[in-house]
Amino acid sequence: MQFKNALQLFGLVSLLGLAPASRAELQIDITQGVTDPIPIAIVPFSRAVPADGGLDVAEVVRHDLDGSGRFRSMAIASMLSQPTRADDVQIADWRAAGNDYVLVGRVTATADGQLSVVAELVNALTGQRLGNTQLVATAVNLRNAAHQVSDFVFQKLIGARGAFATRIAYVSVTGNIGAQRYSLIVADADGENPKVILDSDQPIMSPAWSADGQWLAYVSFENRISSIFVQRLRTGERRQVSARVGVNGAPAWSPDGQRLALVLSGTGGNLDIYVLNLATQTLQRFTDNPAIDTEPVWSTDGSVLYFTSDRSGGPQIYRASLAAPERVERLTFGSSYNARARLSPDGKQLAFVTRVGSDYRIAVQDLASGDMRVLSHGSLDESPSFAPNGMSVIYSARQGEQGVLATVSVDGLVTQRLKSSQAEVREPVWGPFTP
Amino acid sequence: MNQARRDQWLASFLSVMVHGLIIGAIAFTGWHFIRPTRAPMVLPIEGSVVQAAAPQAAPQAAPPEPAAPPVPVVAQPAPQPDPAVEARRAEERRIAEQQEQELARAKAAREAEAQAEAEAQAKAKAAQVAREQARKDAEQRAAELARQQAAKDKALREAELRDQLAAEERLNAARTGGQEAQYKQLLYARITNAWIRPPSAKPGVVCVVHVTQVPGGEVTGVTVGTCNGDAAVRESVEAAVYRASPLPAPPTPDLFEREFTVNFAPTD
Repeated sequence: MQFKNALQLFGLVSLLGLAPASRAELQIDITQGVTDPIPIAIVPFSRAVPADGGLDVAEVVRHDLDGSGRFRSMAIASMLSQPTRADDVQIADWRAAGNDYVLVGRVTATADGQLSVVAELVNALTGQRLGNTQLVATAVNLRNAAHQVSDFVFQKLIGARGAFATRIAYVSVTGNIGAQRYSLIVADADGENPKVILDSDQPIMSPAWSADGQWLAYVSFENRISSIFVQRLRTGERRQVSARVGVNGAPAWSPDGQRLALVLSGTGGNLDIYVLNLATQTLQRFTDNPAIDTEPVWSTDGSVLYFTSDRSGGPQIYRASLAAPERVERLTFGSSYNARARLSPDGKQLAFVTRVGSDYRIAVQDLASGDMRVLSHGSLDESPSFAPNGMSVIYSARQGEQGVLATVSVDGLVTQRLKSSQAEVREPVWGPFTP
Repeated sequence: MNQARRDQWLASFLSVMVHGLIIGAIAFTGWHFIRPTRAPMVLPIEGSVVQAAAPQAAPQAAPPEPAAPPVPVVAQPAPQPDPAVEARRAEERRIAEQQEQELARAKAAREAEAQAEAEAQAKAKAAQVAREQARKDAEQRAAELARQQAAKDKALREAELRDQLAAEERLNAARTGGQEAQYKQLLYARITNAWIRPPSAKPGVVCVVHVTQVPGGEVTGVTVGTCNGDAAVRESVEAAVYRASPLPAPPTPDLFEREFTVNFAPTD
């Protein structure tokens, strides 16, 4: 009896004691995620044939988003329907097919002969409309409008500005040895829509974008000696800014576009870094060292130059301020070869070429922590350059005997080869965002 | 020690008795014939007189009674009968007998009456007792029924309590035994794998998401609460929970939570 009472009492106590606990809400703490691609259905847009010049906008968007590695688009053949308006999207169908989002849109010819591009993004999980983008384009820049649709989706779902509507510059080399042609090419970031900026039978090297994306500086041997030119892209107007004795190389635009950092050998043949004021043509010496100092890069505020020097033996990355260039700080230590640095748009990371065993690969180093990680896996990866959103790096790689372009996300997870032409491509540089 | 004391006391008592007997004998045989001598007065009493003065020894002052002389018993010779006396005596006997018979009769009548009375009383009493017993029995039966009912109720209540207790204990055991942790782990794994984490979900971002599910695990509601992430982060955490649907079932049904909270707090 006493036991029973005790049991009752205990039961009561335990009920009193545990009942609130059972109502305490379950909490799950998620500290990790995955970098799986987001499943999205990019439904073919309605077309304005023939005003659209045969360009399939949805196809460009699909290529952009798939190529970013952050999206996985649904095969068109699997689509039960092809709505072009958010109103017509039956989310259950799309969700059942494994899509989280649906992009629909339409391209229509306007009365004034232009093209209207409208895209709408729908959350297939909730039915919520995540917004739309409306663009006016011409047949000529419809591809750019398509990239902007990609940027819209990217911004909505990835939370970062897409770099699809930006451009890259690179040097293409065709022909056999002895009869080679060199071309400076500007193309869409996906490698499509290439435009030849300069064509020469002499080497073209080291293209560099101005901060406003209007100009390219480059080294051309068209006069049999190395000279530095700057060229306005829209007009093709160009001028030679440095053709001094010896080597003229590795131009880099200051953030304000007023100056070029460049490398000169002078008569002595030793490479040092100088800063050239484009307006006044005044030259300021930055390094004065018997070792090779080359490949200058501006800090985002224009007060510091990062550069490659072999003053400690092998090439390593250093930096010094323009105000006190004699106070040089070495930044890289992880390998006997670290060279050709480029700064991320936010100024927090350096991408450069590092030797891993007998291979040359692309690495990214965090400037604050000094942590370095190798992103690429090739044997001769060269010329890294950050995308303007800082999320990936474009570089050149060897594919057989040919140089090709590739991108790798700064987390190293997504590598993409750009569409390869017959030409050998070198020295890709990613242009800035353009307004 | 005790024995020694008793022996000592006995010795004193005997000496006092002897002393008394001597005094008594002198008094009985004639005080004047015996000249008092000192000798009897110096009996070796050893100072035990003090002890003898104890209450038990009080009779010391009173000399014992001398034994009474035996009285001789002499048989009386029977008297001779006298005829007149005999007749008178017979008459007296007859009357006495008659009286005796009457008395006996009266007594018998009285006794019969008393017996009848007693019997009636006994009968009444028996009836009374029987009634009382019946009443008691009824009461007892009612009490027994009530007790049984109460016991039944109590057993039922106890069973209910035991069931509840068992459920609580099961839940508790499930919790402490790691089954809740297991459930959490299942949910954690499912949602983590479903969270396509945007680059803007950097360490420091914390998003509290309230989830409603139905048995079977289908997610029926997702509300993004406090969240310091950007629109893409909010979008991603909401989508993560929907993408995780149907959610895994708990190891025991008790642990199913219709509503729960997911804290997205990337640590990188």
